[in-house]
Amino acid sequence: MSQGVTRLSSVAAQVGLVAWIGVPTLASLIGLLIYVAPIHMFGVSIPMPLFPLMAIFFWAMARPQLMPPFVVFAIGLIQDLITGGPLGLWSFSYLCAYTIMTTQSDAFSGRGAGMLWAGFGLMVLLTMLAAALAGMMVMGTKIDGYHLLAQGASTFLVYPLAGRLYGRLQQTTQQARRMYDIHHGLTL
Amino acid sequence: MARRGSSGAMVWLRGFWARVSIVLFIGISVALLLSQGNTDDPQSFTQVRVAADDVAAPAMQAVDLPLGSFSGLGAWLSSNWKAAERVRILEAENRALRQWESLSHALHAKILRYEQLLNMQGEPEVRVLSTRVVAEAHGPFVRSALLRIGRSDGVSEGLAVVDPRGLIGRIVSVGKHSARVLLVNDLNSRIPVVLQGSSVRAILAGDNQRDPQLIYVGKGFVPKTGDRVSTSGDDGVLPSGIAIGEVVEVKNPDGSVGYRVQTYANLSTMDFVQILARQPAVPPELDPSEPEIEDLTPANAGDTTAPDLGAEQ
Repeated sequence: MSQGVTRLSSVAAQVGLVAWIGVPTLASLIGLLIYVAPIHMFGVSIPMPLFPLMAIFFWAMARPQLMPPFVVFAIGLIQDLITGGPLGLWSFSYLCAYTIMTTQSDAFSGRGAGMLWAGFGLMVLLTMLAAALAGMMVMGTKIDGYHLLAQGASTFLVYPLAGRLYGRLQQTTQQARRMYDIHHGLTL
Repeated sequence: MARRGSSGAMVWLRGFWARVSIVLFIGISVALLLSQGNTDDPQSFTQVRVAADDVAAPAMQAVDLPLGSFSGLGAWLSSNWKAAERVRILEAENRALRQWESLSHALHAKILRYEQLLNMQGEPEVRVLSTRVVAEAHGPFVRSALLRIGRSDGVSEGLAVVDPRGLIGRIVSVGKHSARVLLVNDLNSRIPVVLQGSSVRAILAGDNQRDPQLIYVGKGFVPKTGDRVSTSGDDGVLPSGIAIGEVVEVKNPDGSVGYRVQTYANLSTMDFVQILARQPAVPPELDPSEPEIEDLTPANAGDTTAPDLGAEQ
């Protein structure tokens, strides 16, 4: 009997994990759609913040198991496809920054919002550096540094707001999952 | 919770599979990048891109609904900002445009008369398809836009895309319900142009900067700031005479003087655009009363027999 419950719990945990991974992925994809949307304020194009990068950073720090490398790769690749840019450019850049940041996560997470924001600033910098290198490698020409800088700055500035939104989303999904477990009498 | 998350991150990364997957996916990304290093093949992965565009275009339209109203609010605010001054400027512009209008009517009539005298065969008719930009990329790596119109609407590769002010780019890939526009300032954009008033040819080349540059300008000719640039139609793809912009002189980082074109169309705030589709040339219809041309291919030539002139004699 207890073996059956354990097995059921294990299956539920796996199903729950897949659904759970779905939330950060979906949040990243919605962020990506906003990133490429033609938004113009006062007749000028705003350097759109990299919303997918914010989602990747948030979950890489808070719940890395919900943002595994293949999801980061997929988000980058979809971004390349939607923007029509060189395939592999953003997946490479995101993965490089993700790898470094997750190995250094102890230095940033759990030390206050300011430190986390600083950590995100480092992630933006790493991503932009990797993107510039990859871009120069593929295109064989110099990259518009001003544009990269503007995009990096807007991404960095918007993070506290986006991070708070992602935090609420994470809390809600976590509560929903707990309720699901209690309802089905499962202890995971 | 954060502490648990961070230690979780370490555990996750220490795992063998995590390391393998990171290396694997970085490797795949690098392989993808290197496979596109060959710039002779700009249409690499076209099928994948077209399929992705077909999926993304309807999704973008759904997202655009709430975001469009956000943009609209900005436009409304900006239009009411300094309204009186804007009215004064517009009135002055309107007066100047009226003069140009009467002049253009006179010139149009004159050109029509000349064309009649010369029995000139005009340019093929152009069909206009209007649509809206659903996604755009203005990053440092690509300058493109996604349209919610595709092959099912009669769009094909190479067609010119304009806004009310001038050329913005050309169609580079077409899906069933989506089309991607390569903007004139994209790194891969090359458009043959003519400098109006001088008939000097040049190439308009994008380099992912705001204004595309003017290269291969006719030998010995020095463009001036303010020279108007339009398509020459020499590529046989874009129609000739589409307005693009005006020449501006710039100083290159090495100190030399370069020329760029300030486009009439605002490439960073596109909304509604038009695709100029040339009507395909219709082959002349055969008159049924006229005898058909005899097929003299070797296979059929054997059936014909030479008249036996000797028999009559």
